[in-house]
Amino acid sequence: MKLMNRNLISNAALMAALFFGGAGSAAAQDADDPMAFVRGAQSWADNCARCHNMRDPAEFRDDFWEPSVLHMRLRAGLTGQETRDILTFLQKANDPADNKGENK
Amino acid sequence: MKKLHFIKLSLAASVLASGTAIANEDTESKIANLESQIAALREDVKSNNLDTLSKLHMAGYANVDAIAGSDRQEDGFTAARFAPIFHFQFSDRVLFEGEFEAETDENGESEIAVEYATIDLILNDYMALVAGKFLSPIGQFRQNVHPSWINKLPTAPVGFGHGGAAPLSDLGVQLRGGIPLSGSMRANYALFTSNGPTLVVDADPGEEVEIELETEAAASNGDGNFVYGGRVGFLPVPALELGLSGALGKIGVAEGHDVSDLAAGEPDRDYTVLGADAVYNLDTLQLRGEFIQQTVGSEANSAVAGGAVTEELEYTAWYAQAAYRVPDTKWEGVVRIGDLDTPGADANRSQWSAGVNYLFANHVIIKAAYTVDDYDDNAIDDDERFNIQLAYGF
Ligand code: HEC
Repeated sequence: MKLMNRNLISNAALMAALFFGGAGSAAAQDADDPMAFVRGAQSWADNCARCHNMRDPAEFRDDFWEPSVLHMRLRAGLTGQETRDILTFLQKANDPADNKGENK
Repeated sequence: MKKLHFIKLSLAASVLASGTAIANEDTESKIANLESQIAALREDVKSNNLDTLSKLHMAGYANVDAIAGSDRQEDGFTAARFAPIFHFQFSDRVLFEGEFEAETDENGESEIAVEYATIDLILNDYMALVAGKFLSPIGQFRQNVHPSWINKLPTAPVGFGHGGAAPLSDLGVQLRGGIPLSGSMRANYALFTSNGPTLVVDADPGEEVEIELETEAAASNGDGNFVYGGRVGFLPVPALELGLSGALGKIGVAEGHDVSDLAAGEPDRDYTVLGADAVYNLDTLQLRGEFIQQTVGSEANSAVAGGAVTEELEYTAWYAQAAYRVPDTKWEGVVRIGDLDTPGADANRSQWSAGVNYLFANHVIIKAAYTVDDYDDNAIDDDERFNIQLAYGF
């Protein structure tokens, strides 16, 4: 049931992307945006060591980073886009399997 | 089915990419590379979201403190603090954040305080509503630096702790957010209205009657007055943030306070607070500074202590701090100077500290610092001491 919903959402996102040519900023699109990771890495470097020492992306699991980054959005006055990009980056950068892949 | 999904994904991706005019050949290969990674990422995110629509996350910090060499206090351990933070997130728009501070006091008893507890609603990409008890949005230290794993010295700057000159916490609502300006230039803001501080009439037996400023949020609006204010942060480059903050309102004597009955019928006064702060990061060097001034207007009809406190009351504190982490090592050095000026002359002093930190990890730090308090009143001895703190942020 939930899987089907997800498919509907992805179809809707595709339609939206076709119509608006990427101008929208709905969360559903961001996971499909190949540049989100790159932007996220930059925003992370720009923002996440301003108030405190940089926290290691590998410190938390994906689902733990979500409330933490939302918390930091409020502390740091980040925009929604920056927050989603940073979350994408962190959830990617903490992935041990992926690091292995890249170092091959 | 899966393949179809992937084709849709890449189609959407290429449309997105072309729409933002980034698709030169170099980025195209990067995109192809990222695409396969993103596909894996999506699977990941999917599996996370399916079973956890609400998320509970615990964070926080703990520290153990010790003091030596002070004339005012015996050598020994002075604090064991445990400050858990709870995050409860529902969807990507609602967050509850709450921090407890549990501390063992001088008598061995545990004190528990709610540092903050707010419900945060994300209204749009640029604005969130924060409601509840929050750390004062005036300046930086209270909201952004006070946790022990963040503060680079074992102590708060003079005037920025309890009983100082900087407001501590507030009960009310805030609108907060960020605004992208041009290039990497950005701004952030916090606008708030809250119960604000109250005046407390202090009449210790045998001592002069004094008016004090209480800036710790209470769950009732003791004086019935609201305060309106905010802070704007401006980042011309990501490494530099300049902040200006302020609030305005009326302040009165809190009702229901043990000793405030002495001041029944005391008229309300004007209240203003002004703050300026700056932080600059250059590689492993961090410079930080802050100035805060709270002013309670004069009141000719003040009846407290037979009209002894009719004049304006001013509470001012500032500090400047430099911290340098020796590159590629775990060592960090810190120096800080500061000053406090209040109507309570006994507390007024300037202060300097110098410290050395060893970072086991970025959030596990042992700090040792030497601090000198030089009291304005020459009759009061200077206080010199070593503070040691082990801090862990989690
Ligand atoms: C405006 C200052 C500021 C900025 C910028 C900032 N943080 Fe924080 N961060 C804090 C404060 C303050 C705390 C401690 C929270 C507390 O004790 O209430 C914290 C805590 C944390 C924690 C501990 C867990 C938690 O949620 O309390 C993590 C992890 C973290 N920050 C990561 C980040 C990341 C990632 C970024 C970049 C998006 C970031 N921070 C940017 C101020 C900031």
